[in-house]
Amino acid sequence: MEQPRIAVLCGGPFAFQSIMTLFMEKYLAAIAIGSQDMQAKGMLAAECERMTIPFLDVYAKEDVHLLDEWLNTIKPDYIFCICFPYRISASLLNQYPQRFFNFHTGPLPAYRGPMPIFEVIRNREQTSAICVHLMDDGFDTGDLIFEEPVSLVLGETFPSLTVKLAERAAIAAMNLAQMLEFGSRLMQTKQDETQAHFYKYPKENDLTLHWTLLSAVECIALVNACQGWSKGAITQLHEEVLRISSVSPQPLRANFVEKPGTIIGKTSTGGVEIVCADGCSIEALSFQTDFENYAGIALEDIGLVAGVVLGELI
Amino acid sequence: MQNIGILLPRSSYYETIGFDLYQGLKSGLQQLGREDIRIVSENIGFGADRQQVYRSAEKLLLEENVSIVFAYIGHRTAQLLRPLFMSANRLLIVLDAGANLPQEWPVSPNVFYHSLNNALGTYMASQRAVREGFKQGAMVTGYFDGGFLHTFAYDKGLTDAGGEVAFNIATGYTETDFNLDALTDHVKNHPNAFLLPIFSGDFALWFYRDLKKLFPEKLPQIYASPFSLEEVMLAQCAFPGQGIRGIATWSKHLENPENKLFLETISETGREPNLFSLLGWEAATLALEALKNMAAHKNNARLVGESLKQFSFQSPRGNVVFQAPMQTSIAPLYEAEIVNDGNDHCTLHITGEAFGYMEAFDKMVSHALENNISGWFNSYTCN
Repeated sequence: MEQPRIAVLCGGPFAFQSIMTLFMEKYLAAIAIGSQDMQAKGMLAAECERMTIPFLDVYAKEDVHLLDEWLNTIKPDYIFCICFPYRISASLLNQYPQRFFNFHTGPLPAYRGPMPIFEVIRNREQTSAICVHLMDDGFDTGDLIFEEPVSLVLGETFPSLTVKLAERAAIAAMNLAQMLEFGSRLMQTKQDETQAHFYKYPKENDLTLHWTLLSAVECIALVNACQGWSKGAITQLHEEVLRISSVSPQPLRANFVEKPGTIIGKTSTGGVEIVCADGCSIEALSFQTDFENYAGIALEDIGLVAGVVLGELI
Repeated sequence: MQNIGILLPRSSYYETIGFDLYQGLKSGLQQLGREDIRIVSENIGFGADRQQVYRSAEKLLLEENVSIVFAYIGHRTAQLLRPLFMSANRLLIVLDAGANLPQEWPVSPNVFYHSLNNALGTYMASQRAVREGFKQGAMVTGYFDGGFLHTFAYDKGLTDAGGEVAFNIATGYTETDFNLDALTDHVKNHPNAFLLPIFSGDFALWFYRDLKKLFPEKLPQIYASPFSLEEVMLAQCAFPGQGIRGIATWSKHLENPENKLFLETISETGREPNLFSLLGWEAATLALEALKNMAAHKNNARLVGESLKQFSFQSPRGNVVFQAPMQTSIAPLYEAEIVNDGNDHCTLHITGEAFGYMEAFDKMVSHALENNISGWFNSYTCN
């Protein structure tokens, strides 16, 4: 076929590299963004104007219906959804059979749901993926086209994995566009439902450091998974909510008999050492409240001193 | 019957490249006692027509039901095919001239590169120059060869060893545009300079021809990249003089039982053994290993890839291993010089194995490319 015209539905900066790649390769026909981030939208709108590419702002999920008429005007050959936050209606998908593709940011079918990056890090997986799949009326259930694996390193955080996945999504977007252009048919594989798991959007309880239940490596993984998009993993200091926003990548020491959540003391690098459920300790490097960030010598000032026991329930 | 596929290129100056790759693979399989394996080939031209390459690969996978595909292509074209092979759960083994660098693109679980390591040889040639007392390098390349990342390898090899890039010259695309005149002033003004030619095919022929005209009395010191020492081309060159050293990938003069068997077997088919038949010959061993693993892992190409990372074998150029993180094969490289064959033409003289090639590879691929990319879709030497 001739070079296909592709509309991208995105949720923000994660898709920007993919958008630029598709534009450079002359595949890009239009962009819609679903986001309330005014800065991201402003940047994208300005870029679309420069590239003379049609642009649509889908401000809230109630506005998703705007896509129907917009796509009808654009008439793209294919639609790529790259972290578009709102659900596309079945009726719209049915208007474009085999033409709506999602770029899911985690392995499928094991990590269905809206926050696979968080879940993959929290579960201490060694590998994640960009999974390209056709969209149907289920959540992340459509047939797989291909999976683009991405390795996790020690201490991988939500922001660092997001950057890697965004780079890989750009390559996957170009690859899919080329498959659609050059291939005579698209090979697709049904997802194995016996391996499927759907993770809901994480709630406060999912972000909470349950000191009496979680081992040191699990605590570290949770803090890393919370970094960037939330203020950190939740704990409690003197009945006030406190969040741990960064930790050292590995447990510090083992065989503590103190109660889980107990602060052992300051570390040589300015963090605090905290005991976890398995008797191993972690080094917390920075904390956040709703209003302030704390690190280094400021930790003592807010009461993070030896002997204090951090709570796990709000 | 098991089927394997091969995507064969064509080249204006290596006219037999497709035949050589195919014959190498066929003879290799015969020699390994596996004539029962059916080879299905598809033509991909210069490797630059994406539609042609994609459709050819798709045909092998969908219509011929091959388990693995070999393809003489570059990294950029392999990227084009990568999702197709991931979708099909099949293995793509790129028969790679090694003119580009593996860090340009992310690795894929089911794409492997069996390489002639041209960039690595170029990296080591520039380091050899510094080691032998020549610190100011002048890269001499052309419109086609200069578009591959072995030029980046030259630059990094030189600076990693403590040398410096003093001069670059890139000549034109056709014989009439081929002009090295700028070299005379440079060599005159820089007595400690060395030249590092990065050429292949006709361009290498023209380089050695013009060298003799530019420096009729004494050649400057030259450290050549592997494809600038390719023996079929060298045999056609009038000997320009002493002082041309470099790093070679392979030579018909290597003395080992595997090379002897390879040379005899290919010669018996009526073909002249060369780098491309060597690549095909080695591919036969890889094919058997991959097919064995395909059976063991129930055609899961990703698991086959994991096994292949650990695989090594003895080839006519020595022990071939895979550098697992880049999924690229590395074989010994050789220090070589061009000598007079007795009839005033060039021949290659191997002086020894190049020391530290594995470490050199790791160092070379550790360099960030910093927006240096290769824009060629063509397979190297195919234009």
